[in-house]
Amino acid sequence: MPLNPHASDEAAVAGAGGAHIWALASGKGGVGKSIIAANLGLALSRMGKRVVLVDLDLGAANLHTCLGMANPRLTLSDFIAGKQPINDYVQAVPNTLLGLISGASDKLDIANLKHFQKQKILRHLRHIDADYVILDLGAGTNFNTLDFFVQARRGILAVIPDPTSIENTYRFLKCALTRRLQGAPEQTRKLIAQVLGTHREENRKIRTLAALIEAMGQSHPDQAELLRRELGQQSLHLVVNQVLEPGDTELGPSMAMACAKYFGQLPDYLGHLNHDRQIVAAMRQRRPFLTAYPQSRVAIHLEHMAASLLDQDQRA
Amino acid sequence: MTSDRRASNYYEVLGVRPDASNMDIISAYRQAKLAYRSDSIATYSLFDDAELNRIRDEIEQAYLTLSNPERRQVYDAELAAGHPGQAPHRRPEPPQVQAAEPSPAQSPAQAPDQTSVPGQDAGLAAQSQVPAGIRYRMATATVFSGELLREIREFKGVELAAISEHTKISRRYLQAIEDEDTGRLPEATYLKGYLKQYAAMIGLNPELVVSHYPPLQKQTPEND
Repeated sequence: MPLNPHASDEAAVAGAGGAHIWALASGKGGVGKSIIAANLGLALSRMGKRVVLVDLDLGAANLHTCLGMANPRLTLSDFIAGKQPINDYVQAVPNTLLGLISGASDKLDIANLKHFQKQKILRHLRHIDADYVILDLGAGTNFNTLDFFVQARRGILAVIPDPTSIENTYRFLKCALTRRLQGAPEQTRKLIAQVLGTHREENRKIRTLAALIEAMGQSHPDQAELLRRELGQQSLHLVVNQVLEPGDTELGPSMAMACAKYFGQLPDYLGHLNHDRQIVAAMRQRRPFLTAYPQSRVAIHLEHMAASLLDQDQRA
Repeated sequence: MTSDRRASNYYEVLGVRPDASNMDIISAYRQAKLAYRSDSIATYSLFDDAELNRIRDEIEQAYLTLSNPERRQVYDAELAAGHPGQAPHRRPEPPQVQAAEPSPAQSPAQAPDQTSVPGQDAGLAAQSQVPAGIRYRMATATVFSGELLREIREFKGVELAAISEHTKISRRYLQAIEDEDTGRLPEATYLKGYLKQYAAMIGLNPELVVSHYPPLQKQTPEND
């Protein structure tokens, strides 16, 4: 592993303002969140950033496996039960510059996080000593997942070219945005729930969030502005994974376009990753993919995505 | 991409910036056709069939206008004047979005727009809303007399001098167009050209105005 000589300098500068939190989520399971999280983190750390991955796929945590680690010594359960600061639970991932807070646990009820436990994690995430904290979330739309997701500065959604995955991605977006806008006045919240939640067949005139905010801009400009600002708090990105057919590469831009029409201007399309058997091969070798196959197309795309996100951070 | 927020802005429909190049527009159109094709897996779960058809129409409409330099120029002028998207083959639609919200007097397409296309003459964008009477007459006009043209121009707050400045057409001819002063009007060929530019500047459809301007209708048979 080449150590980056600039790592510590840059880290000292960036660390002062608190870590950037990115969250990886998906509507459907098995689309490659953990792989993407692990390797995106690895790519970032190779660019000289200090990165800590947090496995929040509670009850099914296996980010450590994607990173080639055996069962970790310290886990999130220990943090929840313990009294030490969160940084004490960060483990170094062998052969990398990454840190990991594992979600693996002997306690079988970790999936059903209690409210105060969730709050404790949420409170401490930003105090993790790193430039970037990447959250690997569980699939689906339960409140724990949504609350972690909404907290992140960037939300990255993994999707595969499969109708079920796409449907669930839209569903996840609707849930996440509803959760994000729960601070809005009750009347507004009701409207949002109506637009995003009811059956499409119902004969409503406002069918999309974009149209709702548009209409509110006419009647309640301040409210509309508030919603826009709240939605602007988080950047959302789509990653299309497991691309098999050449035509599948068009899915990401198409989804971004549909989302722009439906939700407003988000999310953008970050890129795609080809289906690659070597990913499984790397996992069997218990090595992170980016380390095992650094020249592969998927590795290059992943590095490109990391670079593009860093670039966006620098512009912001 | 976010500067302009009205619902039926052609640039938004294709997801391009108002200063997009022709190439940008063509590739955006291609992307839009892909995204909204009937067997697309990316769109069916967000929109129902009626909605999808409406979006497809919108895309065609947007491309038809933006891919044609002249039409695009006219459209840009309309946008700047706050009246986008009312080509002759597409009559103004009734407001679509007001359901749960108390209905404001105007549809989003007709909302005055302060943030509009960058680089446009500020005097053109500064107009406020057109009263319902004149708007109705504009939409239903079968004859664009000089009188009506002047009225529309004044309601839009566009000075003759500004039009002259922008189009390099002499004030004298512009005045003659509004006065229908056949003695001072130029030959039909030139008149058509001037009239088109004039119409575009006040957000009207040039072809429509030219084909319904009384002095031109009188002249045509004589000239042939």
